[in-house]
Parts: sequence; structure tokens; C-alpha cells
Amino acid sequence: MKFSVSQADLSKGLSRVISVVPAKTTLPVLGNIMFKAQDGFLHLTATDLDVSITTKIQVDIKQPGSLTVPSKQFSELIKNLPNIPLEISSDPQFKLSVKCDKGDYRMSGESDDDYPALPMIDEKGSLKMDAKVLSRMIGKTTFAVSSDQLRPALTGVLFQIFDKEFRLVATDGHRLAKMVCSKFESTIKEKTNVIVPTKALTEVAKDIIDVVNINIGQNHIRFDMGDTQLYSRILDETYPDYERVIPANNDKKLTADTHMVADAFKRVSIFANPITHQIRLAMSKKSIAISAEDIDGGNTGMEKLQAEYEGEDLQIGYNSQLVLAALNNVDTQEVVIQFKNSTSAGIIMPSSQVENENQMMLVMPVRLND
Amino acid sequence: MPTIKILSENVANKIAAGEVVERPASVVKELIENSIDAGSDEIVITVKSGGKGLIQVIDNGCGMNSDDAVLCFERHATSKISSWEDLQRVRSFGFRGEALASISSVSDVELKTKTTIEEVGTIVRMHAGNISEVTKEASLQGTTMTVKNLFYNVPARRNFLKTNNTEFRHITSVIKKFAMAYPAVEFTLFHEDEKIFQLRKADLPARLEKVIGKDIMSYTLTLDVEQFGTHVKGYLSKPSFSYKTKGEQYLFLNGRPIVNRTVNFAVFSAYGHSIPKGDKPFFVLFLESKPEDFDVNVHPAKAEVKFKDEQLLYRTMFHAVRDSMSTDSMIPSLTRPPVNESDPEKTNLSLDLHTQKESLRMPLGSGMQSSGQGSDSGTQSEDDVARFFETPEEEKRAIQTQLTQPKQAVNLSSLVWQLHNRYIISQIKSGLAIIDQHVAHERILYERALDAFEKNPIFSQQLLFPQTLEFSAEDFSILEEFLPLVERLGFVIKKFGKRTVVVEAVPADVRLGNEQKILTEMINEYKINSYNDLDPRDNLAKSFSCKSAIKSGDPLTVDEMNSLIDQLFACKFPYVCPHGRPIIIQLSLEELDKRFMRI
Repeated sequence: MKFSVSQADLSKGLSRVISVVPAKTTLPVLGNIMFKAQDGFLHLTATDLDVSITTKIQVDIKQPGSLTVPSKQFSELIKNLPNIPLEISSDPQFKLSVKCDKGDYRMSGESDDDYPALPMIDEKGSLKMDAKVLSRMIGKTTFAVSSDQLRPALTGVLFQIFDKEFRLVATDGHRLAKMVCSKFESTIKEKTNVIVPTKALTEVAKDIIDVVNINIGQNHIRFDMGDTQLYSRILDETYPDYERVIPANNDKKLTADTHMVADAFKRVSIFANPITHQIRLAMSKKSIAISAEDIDGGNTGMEKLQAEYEGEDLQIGYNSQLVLAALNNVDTQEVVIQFKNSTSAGIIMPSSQVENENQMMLVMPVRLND
Repeated sequence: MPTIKILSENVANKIAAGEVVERPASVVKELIENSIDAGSDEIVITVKSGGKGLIQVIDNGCGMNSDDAVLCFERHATSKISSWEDLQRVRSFGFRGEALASISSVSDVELKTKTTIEEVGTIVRMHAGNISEVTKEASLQGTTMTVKNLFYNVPARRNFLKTNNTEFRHITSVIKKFAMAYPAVEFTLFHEDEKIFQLRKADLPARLEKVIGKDIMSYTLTLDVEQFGTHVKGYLSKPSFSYKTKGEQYLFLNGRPIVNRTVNFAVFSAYGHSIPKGDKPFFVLFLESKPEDFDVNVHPAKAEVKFKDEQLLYRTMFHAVRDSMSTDSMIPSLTRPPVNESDPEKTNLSLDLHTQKESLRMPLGSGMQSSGQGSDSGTQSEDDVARFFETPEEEKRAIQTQLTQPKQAVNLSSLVWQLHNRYIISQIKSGLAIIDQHVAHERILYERALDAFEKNPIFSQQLLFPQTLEFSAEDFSILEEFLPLVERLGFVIKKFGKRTVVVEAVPADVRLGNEQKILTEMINEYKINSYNDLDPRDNLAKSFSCKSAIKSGDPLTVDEMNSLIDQLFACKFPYVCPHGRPIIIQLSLEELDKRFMRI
């Protein structure tokens, strides 16, 4: 294998795949990146077996070939070189050499025979949409996933494809985030549910491109993003029936400035119990108050909120961290929070939805003891 | 001819001797007591053949004049009391006037004594309880008692004696106790012409280090408290080191080594489960009490003492021990921190923190004072006292919530990191502290659970997806049994059919997602523990804390670690987990310096 390439191009390709390389692995070959030079492109591939990412950059190929190279050493070298032309070659013993004006560097690569192959996607169909919209949908759902391996289904994000709707749903059992998009092209005819690991989605959200193609198979999902393809295993789990728990008739409504209410929550929760982060929301037509009390520490905090409230008087407790995380994902000037009673889920929404999108978050209350 | 005869005095003395003089060690005890009563500050004990051959006690006390020297061997001859009223107030060891008569009836005794006033000393030789010779001889001030051929005329008793080594061990153990109680007296012991030890005059801590051992003493807490006319001071092993000590217990009342079950029970109860089951704490405790508050005259060797108000004694001891444990730094150290003698501060508890050398004065809980006074004036109901004796646990909590002053233990700075997702390491003033994350959280949750049962129920986080759980009939009945308690822990559980429940809410401070597991494992743990006769609340608190706590292997963020540390030090017993394992170990800079051979 022999090709020449600019440092900038190679660096860009490397940075796209390197984050998938596992830090620790029992399979040493996964610590390498696979290089394959053919048809005018260098294909770079990294995998941790769950998520694989492959990208291509244009290079001037003198001799096609393939091997795997130690990711850390190689990427550190390229990162620290100036933007100059590089000549990269390997010999039959998989010794890799990088030559440039600065000097010659040699390192030991390995045969790509042992490198895991990319999964085959037995496509059910694909969905094409604006990549920036997908990226936003991912950002506004992944914050709510569970980190607990005891319920694997909740560690991923649910992708739901309907006729007219494409939904992403995440929950950890205490709160839920749902993003709906209605502008997409799909060849998937039947209603489809797949759970995608969060790690894959953070990689997808990184790519700044225009259009993304989502291909769904039996066990894997593939995101085609221009020169880059990301493959991910699908979590073989049953997602809980979240629609059943979304309350339909939350008749009490709080409307407030998003930043103002978030700041108030932040200040008051300083005085909440540091573990439970419990705050109390006392709402009536006349006034809305947020308060917190840490019995152990003897601290209290209280603020009156400038906000609009419609409905009967209500006192409700929340874990302020859960509410704050939801508020941080509201992009509009004003936020709308709907309640039913002190033991049912509160609905948090932006005051107006982006065109062709719908955002909704649920937070379960904490029971007030009095 | 009448079959009932009055025994001769000689026979009577021999019988009495069986009570007072059980073995050579008893002779040593009686003689040392006399020496101390005589105001000696140097006592030399010489023993041969484990005391069977020779016991000699030489002191530099006040001595006796020639008349007394002869009289002292008579039964009921004593210089220490003269009337019944005196007996009520007696502070000296001896007072019955029995010891010498008893000893001399079963051995050959030679008494050599001289007072400061007399110019020559008196020598009295006794054989079989009768004076065989009285002479005068120049001698040093003080008294020398030589006891030979013990039990020569009581072969049965002599045959019961153990080997020389065993008898000698009993003797050393007797001397050890006196040495602890009288640090200002020099004790020297010879056995078979070999000097075994010489304990020079010292202060209490120094003497204890010599007698008990430096290593054990460095793992002790200092105790010094005065209450209800009883002054208690001494040293207790830190709970986490109970296994390192041999579990020796020494109790002294006004300088007299005694055994008292109430005190032992109070101390064990105060340790509670801060020490592993079966382990015994080490303690040396000195009680000072007014003579009219107790009776020494219940046991021939005066080893047992009867207190007028044993319940009051229990309370005093329990709180004294409990308070010192909850406030002192009990962090096991890899090095041996120096033991500083605390400055006795009346009615206050003063103690040393090895980690920060400032004495914290903890006012005793007002509840404790009032409950004590209540019982004094007889206003406290019988029930209260009885309940207290059954469940000291309850009282303890009441007391401790009243210790309003926050505990300043170790100031763990914000510099923390996690080792192998298992231990939290943090820099502290004196070096570094290593915290076991699981047991630390377990301790926090345990105390929170107990608190939840008592007063502040834990908040319940409502679940988005209520969990339906099915149990076996047996487990379900256990669950029903503790359902009200579980609800105070923050679970909201609805029964649904005969063996099914729906969990609607879980404790707010339990990590997300574990609900089902925690509940199932709690039932299992509860079952296992219930065989051990635990109080159901305590059992549930233990099961809950063990199963809900973060596990070894759970990664923690810096914030989580800091919060864990803060909460840990807000606990009443931050140093040992509910099962008795240590939570924190510290490694001092000094130790590190030593390892790196800097010092």
C-alpha cells in the first residue's frame, strides 16, 4: 500500500473515526484503525463491535492495499504535523512508514485479516431526512436516557417510524423526552420500533452535513452521512409502553420565561437536600413559589415566580435536577408546564414548536410528605 | 455425746482461708492491697515455684509497731475500720481483718516490719496459724511479708493448684491490675530469682502503654466524664480495632479491680453493632464513686461489687461510652497515632482527635441529663426505665440528635478521586483518607432509614412506569409484614391480588433503575437477618441500606463523591458500617515519609 495525502485531509478523516476506538479492550486489534486504499480513496474504519464507523478521504494512490495501524500513535503523529504533504506506505510485514519534509516515521501495523468486518444490513428500508433536524432530535432526547444497565432498553433511544411521523423517545423511568418530526422521506412501509444505543447517536449528532439516510436492518442500523457511514447494533429489548403514561388531561398550566424559571430553580435548589434535590412548587392564581428545604443541613430557599398560572391551586414536589435538565432543552423564550395533580407526570414543552417538529418532556413528581 | 461441736479456731480459720485464699495469686492480691493501704510507693514482689514455694512482698509503707505486728494475725484484727459506720465509708482495700489470719493458717508466714518512729523492726514468725517466734531486728522502714509453703497443711487444696506457670500467670495478672490502677506506685516482680519486670512510677497513659502495650493503647478512645456522682475515665478500643485487641476488660472502682456485669453490659451495648458480632471491645475504665453508693462486702475476695442503683450505673456508662465513640475520630490509621491524655474536664466530655489536635467539648445531651435526674427524683416511670433497658437503641438516637454541635471529624478537601471504581481517595490535613464507597453509602442509608422510621419519611420519586412485581407466598407475607415501614423508606407499593404488588414510587435518593432488585433483595436479606433476632426496624434498615447502596464497581463523578463524603460525615457513626466493617482508613504523611525513608 502506498499513497500520498495532505496532513489536513488525513487528520479530518482520523478525527471522524478515532472516538469509536475503545480505550480498553480485550481484543487488541480493536485498538487499531483499519486503512484500505483503493479506487482513489483511503477508507478508514474503527469499531468497538457495537458501533462501527467508516469514512473515506481522497488520496493519491500509488499502490492499493490494506492494513490496520495503531490508532493512538498514528493519530498523535498526524495531529502534531503541520499541513504538509505526506507519503504513507506499508511493506509486506505491515511496517507502516510516514514520510514528509519533517522526517521519516515507522511503526508496526497488522494485517487486516483479523479486523472485524462491517455488519451487513439486510435492509427493511430507509428513511431520509435533514441531518440537522436529526442531530437536534438526538440532542433533545439522549439527556433523558438511563445509565443503568439493569434496564438495558432504557439505555438507548427509541426510534419509531410511522407513516407520517418519525419519533425519538428516551426515558429513565423518572422522566421522558419525546421528539417528533414529520418531514422525512421513508421507504419503510410498516410501523417500526428500534432501540439505538446512545453512544452511536452521539457520534451521529457530531456530523455536520445536510442529509442523512437511516437504514434499518434486523440487528443493525446504519446512518449514511455523506462520506461517512455509522453502523450500530440495535438493542434487542422491549421498550416500555411510554404512550400509556403520557397524561392526556393535564388541566393546570404554568407559562413562564424559560431562563427566568430555570435560574430560579437553580438558585433554590442550592438549598435543597443535596441528594434528593427536592423542590416544592406551590401554585395558585395569585402567586407561584418555588421552595426547597434541607432538613439535615437546616437550609431553606424560596422564590416567587413571575409567571402565569391557570387552574386550581396545586403543590407539587420535583427533583430539581430533572426539571432543570428538561428546561435546558427548551429553546423558546417561554416554557409551558402542564400539571394534573401532585402525583402525576408534569408535561414540559416549548411555548411554540418548530415547524414539522414536536417536542415534549415528562417529569414525574416526588411525593411531598405533608 | 452431742454430735454438734464448736470447731476449733484453727479449723475455722482454715475453712475461711478456703474462701479468701484460693491460690497463690490470692495471697499476692491480699498482700499488695495491704501494701497500698499502708501508703507504699514501691512494691517488690518475689515469687518462687509459681507462688507455691515462696511469695514475698516488700513495701516501703508506714509499717507496724511491735504490738500491731503481733495483733494483725488475729482474726478480725484491722486498723482500717473500727465501727459499723466506718464500714459504710471504707475506702481502703482491707477492712475485714481476715486476710492475714487466713493466710497464716495455711502457710508459714514471716512478717518483718518497722515504722518510722521505732528504731528497730519487729519480726513475727507464724506456723500453722500460731505465733512461733517474735524477735527484734534492725530493718528498713516498711513491711516485708514472706509466705512459704502455701497450703502445706491443706493437701486437697494444694493438689488443686495448677502448674507453676499457670499459677505464676495468675499472679502476674493480679499485679497487672494493681499496676494499672496505681501508676504512681513502682512495681517490681521477680520469679525464680529472675527480674520479670520493673514498672517505674509514671502517669496513667505511660503506665498503660507498658502494661497493656503501646499498639493496643494507640487504638483507643479516651473517656472522661462525671455524672450523677460517678466519675468515669479510661480508655476504650476504637470499634474498628476490636478485633485487633484481645478483648481484655479492666474495671476499677476507686482503685479496686472489680467485676461488674452491669458495666460490661453497658459498654457492650454502647458499642452496638459498631463492632462485628462476637468481637469484644478492650477497655480500661476507672470509676470513682462515693463509698456509700456501692457495697464491696459481697464477695470474699471483694472482686464483685454491688451498686445501689445499677440502672443509673448502666445509663452513666452507656452514655459515657456512646458519646465518646460518636465524637472521637475513629478512623483506622495505617500508622499509630500518638495517644494524648485528655485533660479531664468535669461534667464535660473532653477528648482528643488525633487528626486535629483540638479538644471538642461536647455538652452532654440535655435529654440524658433530664432522664437521669428524673430517675433520681423518682419521677421517671417504671416503663421508661424498662423500655430503656430493653432497647437502648431508642435512647441512643434521642440522645444523639440532641448533640447539636456538629462533629468536626476530618476535613476532607475537595481533592477526591476514585480508585478502581471502588474506593474514594481524598487528601486530608494529615495525609490521605481512603473511603470504601459501598460501606460509606450503606452507613448513610442505614442512618437515613432509621431516621425515616422515627420521624422524617424519605421522599418518594414517582415512577413513570409502575413496576409490577410478583412474589412467592412466603415473600409476599414478609413484604406485607414490613409494608408500613417500607413506605416510610419512600416506596409506594399497592397490593394487587394475592401475590402481586405494583411499585408506584421509590426512595428519591436511590439510584434510578434498581427498584425491583432492591425490594426483592431486601426481602431475602430480611429473611436471613430475622434468624438473628434483630429488631425488625434495624433489620429492615440494614437490608435496605445494604441493597440500595452504591456498589463496589459503580463509577462516581467528583460531585457524587464529594456529596457522599459530606453525607458520611453528617452521620452519627461515620467510621464503621452497620455490619461493623471500617469505612475510612487513613494513611498519614508521616507513614509515607517513613516508607520513602525520609525519616
